[in-house]
Amino acid sequence: MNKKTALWCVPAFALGVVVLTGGPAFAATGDASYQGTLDAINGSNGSGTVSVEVSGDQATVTQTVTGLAETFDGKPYPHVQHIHIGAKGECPTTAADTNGDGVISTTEGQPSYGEIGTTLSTSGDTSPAAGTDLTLAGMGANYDYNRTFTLDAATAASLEAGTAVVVVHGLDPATLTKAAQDAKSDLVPSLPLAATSPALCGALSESQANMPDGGVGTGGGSTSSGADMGLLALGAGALTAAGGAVVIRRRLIARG
Amino acid sequence: MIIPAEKRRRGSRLATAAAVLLFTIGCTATGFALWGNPPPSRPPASAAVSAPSQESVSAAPSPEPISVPPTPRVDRIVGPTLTASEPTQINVPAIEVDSVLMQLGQNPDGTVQTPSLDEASPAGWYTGSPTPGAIGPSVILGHVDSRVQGRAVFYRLGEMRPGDEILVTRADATVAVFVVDGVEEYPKDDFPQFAVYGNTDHAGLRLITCGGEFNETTRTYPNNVVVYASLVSSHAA
Repeated sequence: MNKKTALWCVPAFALGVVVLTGGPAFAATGDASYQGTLDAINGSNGSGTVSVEVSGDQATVTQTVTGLAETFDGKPYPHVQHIHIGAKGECPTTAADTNGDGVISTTEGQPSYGEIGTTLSTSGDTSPAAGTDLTLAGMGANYDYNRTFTLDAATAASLEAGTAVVVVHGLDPATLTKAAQDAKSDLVPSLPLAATSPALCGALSESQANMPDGGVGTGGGSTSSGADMGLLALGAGALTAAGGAVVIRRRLIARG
Repeated sequence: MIIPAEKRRRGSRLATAAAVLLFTIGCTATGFALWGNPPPSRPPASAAVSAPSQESVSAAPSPEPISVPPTPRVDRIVGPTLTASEPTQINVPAIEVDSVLMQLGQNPDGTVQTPSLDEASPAGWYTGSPTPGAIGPSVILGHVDSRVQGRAVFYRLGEMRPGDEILVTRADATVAVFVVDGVEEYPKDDFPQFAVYGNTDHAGLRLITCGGEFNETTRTYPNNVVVYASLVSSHAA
């Protein structure tokens, strides 16, 4: 940076400090931001990320899920998903499989992640009552979920206490043992065990950074062609002036 | 008007000299203009490493043992950390960067603010991220080039390689010393927010600029270059 441009920067820099200072949004307003990485459980091979932005009593959940069971009875597989609350705030290990059938059932995982606090439904009710409504579930192997809803006090308290855990349910029965394939769900006896058992789990923790959206617009393009447009203009100007000087010289010679 | 022959000759000589001088300046400037600013370098695929995982970025042992919290959500802290203090200056010897730091928040659309494109702007610290040296992903942005003036502060960011040092001076008169873990290039429309801005178990730093082939129609770059680094030490400024 040469001296001249450095000087030009000063007003812009000063203005930037005044106008652009924001501070972590959640620090000043009492709002909060949480995030978690969704890891495979029960051998689902899925993965995902989830963030929860809390503003007053409103929560915005943004979630991306990939690699889950794709179909169920020939239709997109319904993956019910919840924020579980009020226990250790952990994802269960295989030690939680107390009946030894090779599957950590939703009930077996509860000492780690607790009961349902909020159902991450695609519409309508977000209370625990909607917890096993397959029509409101995430659908298919891969999906994005983004919803803003009113946060209940119990889930809000669990988020603050660091004990909230996002659990996505629904396993591919083909990955289970024969006994587990035939077993009924511990939650909804009319469904197979695979349908309601945890497939992804991620403990939510307070975000260290307030996550901005998308990429970053950090280029103007003036070097993209390899050319410096300012210098090019100077060069062109000088060449034009040189042409002018030649014309003047010719005129002077012609007069002589 | 009648001009004496002597004056005409002198005028002719002056015009010749002026033409030669201007032609030389013109050619030199045009030459520098056309070839003086090659498009910014990009991280080679071979140099790009995966975003540091929770476990792999251990840079230096903690000066003193830190008790392991009872729940896994507050992960084990790897490496040194500093208390929060706002950054004022960034120095990257490998790519000859020495810039004051402005402060950048978020735009109304939720994207991160960037410095003005019309000035030779300094780099900026994203105020929604931890201060450099504190636990978490501290973010510093800089332009790769400006709209008209050529190279900008992070023009050479794509040249950075693992092991390069980044020095950030803070308001508390400490210099936080980071070492590069990896350099990645991502499409802006598929930007891995969690890798870049997600929680970390160490005092991390991300330097971000634009990359890829400039789109003359949209006047934007399609990609971002992200340098991942970890705090290794600190000293008085």
